[in-house]
Amino acid sequence: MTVPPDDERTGLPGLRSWRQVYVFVLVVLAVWIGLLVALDRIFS
Amino acid sequence: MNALDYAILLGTMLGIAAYAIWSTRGGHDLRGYLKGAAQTGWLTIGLSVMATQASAITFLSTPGQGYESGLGFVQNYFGAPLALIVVSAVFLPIFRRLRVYTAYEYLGHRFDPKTRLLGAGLFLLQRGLGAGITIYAPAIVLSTVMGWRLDATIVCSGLLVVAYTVSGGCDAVSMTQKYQIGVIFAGMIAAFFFLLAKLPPGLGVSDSLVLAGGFHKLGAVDFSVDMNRRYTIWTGLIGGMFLALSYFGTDQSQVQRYLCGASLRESRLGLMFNAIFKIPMQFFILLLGVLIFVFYQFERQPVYFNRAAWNDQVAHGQGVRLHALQADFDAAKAQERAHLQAWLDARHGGDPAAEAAERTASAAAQERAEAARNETKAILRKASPSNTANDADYVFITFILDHLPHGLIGLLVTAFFAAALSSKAGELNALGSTTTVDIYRHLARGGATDAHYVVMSKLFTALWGFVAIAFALFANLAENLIQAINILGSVFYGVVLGLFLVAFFLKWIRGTAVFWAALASQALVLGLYFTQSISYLWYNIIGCAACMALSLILQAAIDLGGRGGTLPAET
Repeated sequence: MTVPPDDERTGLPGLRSWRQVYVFVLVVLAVWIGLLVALDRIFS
Repeated sequence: MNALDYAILLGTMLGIAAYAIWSTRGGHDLRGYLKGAAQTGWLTIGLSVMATQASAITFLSTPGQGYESGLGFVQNYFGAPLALIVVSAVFLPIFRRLRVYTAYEYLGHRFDPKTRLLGAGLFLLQRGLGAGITIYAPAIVLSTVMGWRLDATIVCSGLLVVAYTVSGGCDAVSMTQKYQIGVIFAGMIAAFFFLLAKLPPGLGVSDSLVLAGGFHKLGAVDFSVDMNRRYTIWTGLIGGMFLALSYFGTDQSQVQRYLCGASLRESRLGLMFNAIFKIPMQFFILLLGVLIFVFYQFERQPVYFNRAAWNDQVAHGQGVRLHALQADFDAAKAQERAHLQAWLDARHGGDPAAEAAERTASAAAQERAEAARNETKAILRKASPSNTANDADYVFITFILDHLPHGLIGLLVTAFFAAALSSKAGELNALGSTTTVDIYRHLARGGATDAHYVVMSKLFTALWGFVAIAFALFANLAENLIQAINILGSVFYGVVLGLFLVAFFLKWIRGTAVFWAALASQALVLGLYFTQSISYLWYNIIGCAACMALSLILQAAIDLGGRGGTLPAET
């Protein structure tokens, strides 16, 4: 297994590369939008 | 406000400023003054980036937006996580590798001196104007409501931020922002829970959301493709991404925040912190406004929140008409309240037909109340053209002063000033740095000592502070305050972003082509702004796309004509 260079290390558990961090952020964005749509649908 | 509130306000604001000045005292070299001691961790960077963006207007005006228009404004921030990913992956590593002080220095490396000056000039122009708004906006609302002198409020808050920004530079800005954002969060969270406790007995969060939904306040995501709608998911994701990319990637007030990170990792994590928490933060502030709307369905509210403007016109011959409108408004609200209670009773009793009927009747009463409010707004606007602030900006501060206990009032007013000073400090720090590094050192006096540039940087920071104070003293705004900031940014940011995207991704384009393309694109955006009524977020895309497309065309023409521009430097 190759060790990522210092700049590539995230130090985050479960998210070892920055690519994984960015995917995680995109998933969080999708979840926020989904929750906002659901909030409107449930209470309107 | 009583003595306790003033003690909290003055003690907190002066205490934070004094601590920052004391702990950053002593000599600085230029790198330390402009970029800090390079020991800043990701949380400080993340909070500093957040504090620079979230000005007092965010906390004072956004709940008013939630009260009037619901949650739709949150879409404006949908593009921010996308933009922050691009900044983290592309912009940040290049800025750090070149060890630049300002983002525009990179344009000089990549293109030529005139393109660097153009980028720095556009930044100084729009941020210099914006700096005036960030100091004026909270001052106009707070001075009106509190009865303070507007000019004294502007000058006192302006001088305080100038003092610690000039004294401590980048480190003082980051340090104060960390404490100031803590005060802001504490105040907003306390206000939220007090608001929940103030709702009528038996009206829980679920019922409140049902009522808000019934008045169309929860429509946070609009899938419409109508270009004239200001906030849709498309303007948010696409236009908002370009706005955020320009802001986080090319605006020195933000670039300076994350360049002071101890390492690339700390800077990146600080940006990702914002990518994750920016949307929920804005949602929370808008939801606060929506719940204030629900609260006022059961409490007597003024037909017009800016009571100073209302009282002024009552005293100047409009009293009979305005009191009649307040009476119409009160009558409609009383009817609405009865229907709302019946609506909730039908909902709890499981009677959908009665629930639907009462909901319709509530909406009709709300329309009558809204008509009285709109007529009041029209009368006040016509009678006093100088009263240009949006009444929605007074909703939250009116709620705070009328319904929250002393102590918490002081904490929230402190939070507004903390937010004003934190974003102002970031702007002044960036304006001073850009003027020193990109204009003075580059054009007027290269090769001087570090100590000389530190002195000049302090002088330029102070100068921009005084310019902002002077601008704020003469400002006059018609837009909702937070929108005014975003509109101003959108008019200039697109072209600056175009400059940077050409630099990063179109490697064969040289300085002369991109310089003239940027000038032509800025003229195009200004022309559209003054003649069209499309959503301002689109100007970010138009400016950026025009700059990139014209650069391609001009470079092709130059190459065909056999006259190349300046050769690109290594990046």
